[in-house]
Amino acid sequence: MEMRKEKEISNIQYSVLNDEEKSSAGSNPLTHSMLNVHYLSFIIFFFLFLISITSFSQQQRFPKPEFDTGYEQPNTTTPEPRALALEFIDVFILMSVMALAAWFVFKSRSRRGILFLSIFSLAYFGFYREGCICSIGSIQNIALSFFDPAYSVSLPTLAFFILPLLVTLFFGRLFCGSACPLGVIQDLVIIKPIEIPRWLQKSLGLFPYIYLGIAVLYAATGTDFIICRFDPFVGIFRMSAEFHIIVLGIAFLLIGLFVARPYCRFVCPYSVLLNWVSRFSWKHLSITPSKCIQCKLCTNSCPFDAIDFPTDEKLKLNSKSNQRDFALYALLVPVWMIVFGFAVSRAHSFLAQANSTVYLAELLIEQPELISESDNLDIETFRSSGKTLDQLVEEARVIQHEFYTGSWILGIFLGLVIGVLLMNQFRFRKRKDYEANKADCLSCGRCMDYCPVPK
Amino acid sequence: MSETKKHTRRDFVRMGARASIGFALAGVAGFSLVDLNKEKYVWQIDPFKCTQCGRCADHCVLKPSAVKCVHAFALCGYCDLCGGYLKPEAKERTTAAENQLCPTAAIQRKYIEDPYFEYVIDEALCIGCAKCVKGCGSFGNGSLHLQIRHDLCDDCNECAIARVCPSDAIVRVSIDEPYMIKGNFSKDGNA
Amino acid sequence: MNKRLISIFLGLLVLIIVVVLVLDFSSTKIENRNANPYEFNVDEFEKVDAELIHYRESKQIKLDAETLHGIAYHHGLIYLLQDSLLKIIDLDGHLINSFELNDEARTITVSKEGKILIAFKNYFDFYADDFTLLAESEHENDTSIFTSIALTANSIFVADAGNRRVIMYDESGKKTGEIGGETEKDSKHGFIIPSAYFDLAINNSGELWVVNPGKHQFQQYSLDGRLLGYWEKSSMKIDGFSGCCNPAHFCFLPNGDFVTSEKGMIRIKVHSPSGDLKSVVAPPSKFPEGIHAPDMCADEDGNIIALDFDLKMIRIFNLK
Ligand code: SF4
Ligand code: SF4
Ligand code: SF4
Ligand code: SF4
Repeated sequence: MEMRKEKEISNIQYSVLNDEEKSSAGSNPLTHSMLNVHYLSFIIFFFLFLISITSFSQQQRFPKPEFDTGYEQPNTTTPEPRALALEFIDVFILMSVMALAAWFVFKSRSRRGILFLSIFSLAYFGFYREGCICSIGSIQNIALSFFDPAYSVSLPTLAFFILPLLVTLFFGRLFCGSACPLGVIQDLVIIKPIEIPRWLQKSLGLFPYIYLGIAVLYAATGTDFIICRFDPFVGIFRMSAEFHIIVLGIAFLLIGLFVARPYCRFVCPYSVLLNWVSRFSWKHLSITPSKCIQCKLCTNSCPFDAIDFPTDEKLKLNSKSNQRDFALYALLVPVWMIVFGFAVSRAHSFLAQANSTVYLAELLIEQPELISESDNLDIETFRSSGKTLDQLVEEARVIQHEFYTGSWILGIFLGLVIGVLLMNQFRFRKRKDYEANKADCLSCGRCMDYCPVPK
Repeated sequence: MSETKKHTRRDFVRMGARASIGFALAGVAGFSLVDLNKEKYVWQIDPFKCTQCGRCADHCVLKPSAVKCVHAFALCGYCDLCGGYLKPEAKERTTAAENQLCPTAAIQRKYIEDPYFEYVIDEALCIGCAKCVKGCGSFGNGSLHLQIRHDLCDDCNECAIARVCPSDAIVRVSIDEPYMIKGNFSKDGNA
Repeated sequence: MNKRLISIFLGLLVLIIVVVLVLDFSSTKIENRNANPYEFNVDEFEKVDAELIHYRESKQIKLDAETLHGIAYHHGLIYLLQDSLLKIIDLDGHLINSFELNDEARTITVSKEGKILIAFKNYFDFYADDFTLLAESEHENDTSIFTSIALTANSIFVADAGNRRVIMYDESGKKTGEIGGETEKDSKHGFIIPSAYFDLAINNSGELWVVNPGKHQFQQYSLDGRLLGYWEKSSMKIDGFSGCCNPAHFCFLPNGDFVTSEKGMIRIKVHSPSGDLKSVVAPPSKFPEGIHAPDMCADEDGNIIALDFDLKMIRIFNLK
């Protein structure tokens, strides 16, 4: 081996120990070119060195003890996760269930068929697959994948999101009636549905919009998946969850004894999408197989108050002023959007507190003494992470900014929803027969059994 | 007459709305398909980020937790004085319960030959509390570490532990390589 | 059932739901989160009685290096192995000299006369004080990992962690023998080396000491390889050595005391030749949570020069 003496050059290049010398080297063009030559050799050495390191670490890290008794070192086991292929089977089953449901709703018109199908779905998607992943939760995966470049959805997840909507666009909410395990478990406990006043229905019906908006906001900012976090039934499907989640599930089921499918109608964020897609569905369940004879037998058959009655002829008299109001409220919609956008954007820092980075940063700005004193686990972890407060605050600021933009969009969306809702109050559509409301009907098929008209 | 006209107009509007919803759905699908994840993510613990806070034991949706301690045997020193097994104040180096660090006595100590001992985790007992991980990291080679066991894990859409992990140690990894066993990969990600 | 009752019942349930949600949200707020119920508090072991700490960190020299390998001291100068270089710097951090090595060096030692020994994975080079190459040793086999080297007047000792033995060479680099570390009492296992830490050194009176890290033991050998004696201190507390392979490095003070450094819970201490803890140089709190025990050497006055692999700097500790 040869050892080269390179006093001059290396004196300059490697005197990083000493900052003044380093800067003087930079200003001298001559030494610069010499440096380059030197760099080359350095790089070559560095590569040789890298190769030697990697080839070394590819072998056993360090020879194990020499065991004289012939002891064999066990391998660390790594049980495989559920195979991806099985996930495609889930998608296939979902599709089959919805296809069968279409057949029961449109061809055989059998409530029984739908009932058994829905019980199968509950057993499979609920108790066997333990409720994950479901279409409701997939909203968040889609939202996250749109905003986080590092995250992308897998095909089964995308299918779980898109397929029920697509089916709804053609045939109405078959997914709700037959495939959704969360819906079915509530459907099975309906014993004495009471009628909820129209105003209450309408106002509670706003909640899914808010829930959807916030869930998307939180998912998109990488803060939380609140739909999954507060899924009331997943604990029951898994037979294991934190205590309060079980309480939540039981409370919903108890409410469900009297208010049919409370989660579906007043909470479920996916229902917002299904509801709107279903309004424009190509075909939809009809109560009667051919022509309504106005027997009124079906009027009380729907536990979800989703049957529209024929319109009162007298109301038509008012339709002129109605049209004026309608136009007025239509013009007000943009105003609502701006007002709500502004209002919610004011609340962005409150909303952002759900993000743990933001929350921690705010806490530490407010009480800087905590950084050194607190024995709180999270603060301690932050302290020993070596991150500075400035770095944390900077991260938090970025997230907060996302929340600012997001809450404007959320507000505008909510304004739109409320504007359209108010506007629709004055919309008048003539109806001659008893019909299932396309938006609210969950295609459970109960009403079909009440209609006396022969097939 | 006007009645039917109205009808056709409404039908037309409906057709339009239907088509636009169709396009919107196709748009979402297309957008997602562009950078589709061919595999799938599952949750795993990055042992180099984990700070042994103990939350893995209590915050998994499963009871007991799907997180277990695993032993990277290749890194283990097979020591008699094992910092992950013995309480620091233990009087003797034996399997007596009062000497053991693990709250559920999930670590089995087996004599191999002088002076080597093998340590194996009984996963049925382990609750993923990370106490031994802390001990092994502080006093030993760091061969004990936590991993999410995929035969147990329900693969929640969002791991409930990830939500509370103070060190963001729970990350999404590709289903192709669902484990981060120490020694098989290094801190900087290269093998 | 009457309608009122049902409404009250429903109202109650809604209330429960709201309470559950609020509770869940507030319980995950950072201030309200639980402390670790399974906490294994090693802080107590990291805390060291201030009375025991007799040293003060007087200087830090930052190094701009990819990797560091070893350090030695001779006559006011620090010999540092970094990347593919041997650098010689003074105690203020000024570069005096620098040499390119064409292999990844692993450890270095400088004799009283200024002769330099640089060990590589499985061989070593021997230089005179004017940096002329005196000898290159034979290459050992592939499983060898040389981790330490020392010399007396006419022989050279190398710790080979990979093969768990000490190899003896003459001055020309020819292998003359091996020490396996077996004793009669415990003949099966010689040196127990769970990971690549295996140090040896020769003190001022010419005694060869080798660490048996798996047993937390220091063993003294005659220069022809006979075990003369040993002391061991196994304990998770400050008075002994803990973990799998400690002490990871050691060197001698001019008065013959042992300066030891441990990995896992990193700490540097001074032990007397009989094994008793004399003082603590640097408690664990001085080091970030790292894995590497610092390499060390000592100057004529007993100041300790430590090479911190994780922080990439030289840290000098003076007696208070
Ligand atoms: S099919 Fe529709 S309208 Fe009929 S009972 Fe079911 S939800 Fe109500
Ligand atoms: S929650 Fe995070 S830091 Fe705590 S033990 Fe689990 S992985 Fe480690
Ligand atoms: S100490 Fe905790 S993590 Fe370790 S084996 Fe026991 S239960 Fe599992
Ligand atoms: S994904 Fe769910 S089951 Fe798996 S470790 Fe996390 S919380 Fe537990």
